[in-house]
Amino acid sequence: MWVAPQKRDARVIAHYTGILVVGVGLAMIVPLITAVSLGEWDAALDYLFGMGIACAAGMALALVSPPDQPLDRTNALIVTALAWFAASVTAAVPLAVSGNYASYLDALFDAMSGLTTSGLTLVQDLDHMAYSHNMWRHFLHLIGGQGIVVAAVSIAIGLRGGAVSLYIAEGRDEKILPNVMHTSRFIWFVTAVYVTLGTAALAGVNLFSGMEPTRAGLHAFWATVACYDTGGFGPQSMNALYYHSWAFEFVTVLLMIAGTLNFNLHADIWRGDRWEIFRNIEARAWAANVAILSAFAALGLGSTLLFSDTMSVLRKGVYHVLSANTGTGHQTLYTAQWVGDYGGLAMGAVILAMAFGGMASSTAGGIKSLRLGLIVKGVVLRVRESLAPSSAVVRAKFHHLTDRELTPTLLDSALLVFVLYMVTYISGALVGAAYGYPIGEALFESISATANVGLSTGVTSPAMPAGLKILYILQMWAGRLEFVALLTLFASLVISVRRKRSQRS
Amino acid sequence: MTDQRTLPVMRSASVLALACALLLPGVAHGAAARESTVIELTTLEVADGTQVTFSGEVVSEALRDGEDRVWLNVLDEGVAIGVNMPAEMAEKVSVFGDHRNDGDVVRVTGVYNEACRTHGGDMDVHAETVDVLEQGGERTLEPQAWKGVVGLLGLVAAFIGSRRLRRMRETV
Repeated sequence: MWVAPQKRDARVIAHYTGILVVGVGLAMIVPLITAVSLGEWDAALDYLFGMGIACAAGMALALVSPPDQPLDRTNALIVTALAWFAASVTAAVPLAVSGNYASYLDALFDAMSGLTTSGLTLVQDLDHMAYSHNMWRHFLHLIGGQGIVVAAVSIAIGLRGGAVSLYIAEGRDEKILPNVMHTSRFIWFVTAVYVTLGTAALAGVNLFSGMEPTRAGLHAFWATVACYDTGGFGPQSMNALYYHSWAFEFVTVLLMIAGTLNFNLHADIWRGDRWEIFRNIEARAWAANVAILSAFAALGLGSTLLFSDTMSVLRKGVYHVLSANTGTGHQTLYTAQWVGDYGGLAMGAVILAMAFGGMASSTAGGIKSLRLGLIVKGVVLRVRESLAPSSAVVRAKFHHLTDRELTPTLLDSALLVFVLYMVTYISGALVGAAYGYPIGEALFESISATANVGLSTGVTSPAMPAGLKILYILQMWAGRLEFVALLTLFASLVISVRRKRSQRS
Repeated sequence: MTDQRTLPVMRSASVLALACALLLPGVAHGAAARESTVIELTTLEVADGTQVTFSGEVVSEALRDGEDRVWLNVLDEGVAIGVNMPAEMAEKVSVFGDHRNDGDVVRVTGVYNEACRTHGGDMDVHAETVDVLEQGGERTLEPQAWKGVVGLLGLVAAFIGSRRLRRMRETV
């Protein structure tokens, strides 16, 4: 049965969305402080402007309904979907007035890309961008990577009535600690540890390369956040190629892998259960995925004239497979080289790595290795059933945190998400092709947007058609929320419109 | 003995030869002097391993590459490329481009590598000469006061709203 939302529902949804928008406004204090401390007065005013707009608009929405109203499952899904869009709309304001974007749409694209940890960008003149604007772009990775709701819950900004529903609606299923606030804080604690270690290591690399200390520290922090949160933004137009350093690439690969680990696995490792990572179906599926695709990439690059030596295979092959699979999107190739130099087999491996994605309950995007592992198990189960006598009961078990049985419900759920991702990947590619881009490049870009990766063959640029920018915004948004929340939002909108029409007639 | 009929042909051939001798070096010189752009290099329009000359702004800083070599990243039309050179060659550059400064504009001549064997397959240029064409300098950055005014008004409105929300919470 389709249940039409009532006026009260709309008010509650507006209230919680408003609270989350205020949260985004308050987060702008970070780039504001950066701007003031570095004397970037022009950029400081951009953030004062952005904060004012976000806090006033968010508070206006929050006042629509009394606080602390309970939030049911459907409304929580709608709030989550809306919050990600509303957060992007407000986060884009300081970027839009920075002078580094051709239009508000381009700034919105980058804000959505930042929050969904995609890393595709339409920024212009990045090499002259203010530090504070780069701080904001990367800080969006940090907020979005952990989840907007997780961020809000962990600092307890007025979500009391709806915290649990929102937490689940954001696609989180970790129950690491007894309540969502403590779990959210644990997620931030783990993040803080990795970000501190990563920043220290990369700052050392940057200082050795000759950067002055402030720049070395800032670049280290941004690269750490971009890799651990599997985002992919960079403060220079050359992205990871800017640093010309294998040490930089090595540290960032470690951070990408840490970022793609399921938070439950982080918790188990933290508690001392290191064997979990070897028994877990998700970790095994991910390792097998990366190993097979890296082998394909190595094979593909081996047949090219340019990248056939060992160092090139590692730095251009394995690096990009990991960057794609973890959903980071850092690249050390120019966009034209994907088609011109990389070779079909290696590019195919990178496309599959993007499409498959990292682990669930992490900052990675894509179909996720847990689902792939379950689907493979399901196929094996069907084959075993076919071979077994008709009276035999064939079961499949797997280990994911606990020993579990593969049920039809679990398999259906994995297949449903798999199909939704595939349909979105292909639809986006067809639209890109309809705009005149070669189908291979259109497919690459569509998968990159939907799986929140950020690698680009050059289709994504300020010059691309507005329709395609909007499509990629929708794909990044849908991919981050794994479709259900967004489909619920659209369904409720359609139902509301239909109900109004029928009331009129 | 020269045949009378072949004389005009020989005269024409001599004029043509003289014209070639005078003009072709000019054409050849013109071809050598043609500059590439960074976009042409990064979109693979230049053959791997050829000598290229291009210009652009040096951005951010010189990054160390071993004991006595450095990287300069040279930006042109929104695209930058890494230029590897001896450290003393880079000393000519005094201003690096960033938010506050436009960097020195340099003309680089060197060997273009689509995938450099000595640098892990990175696309780069190994410089032979670097000349500073234009000295960099401070960029004009003017803070726009209206943004601050609108922002402060928004924050005041949000503060009033938050007090109202607190009162609503107390009465519920």
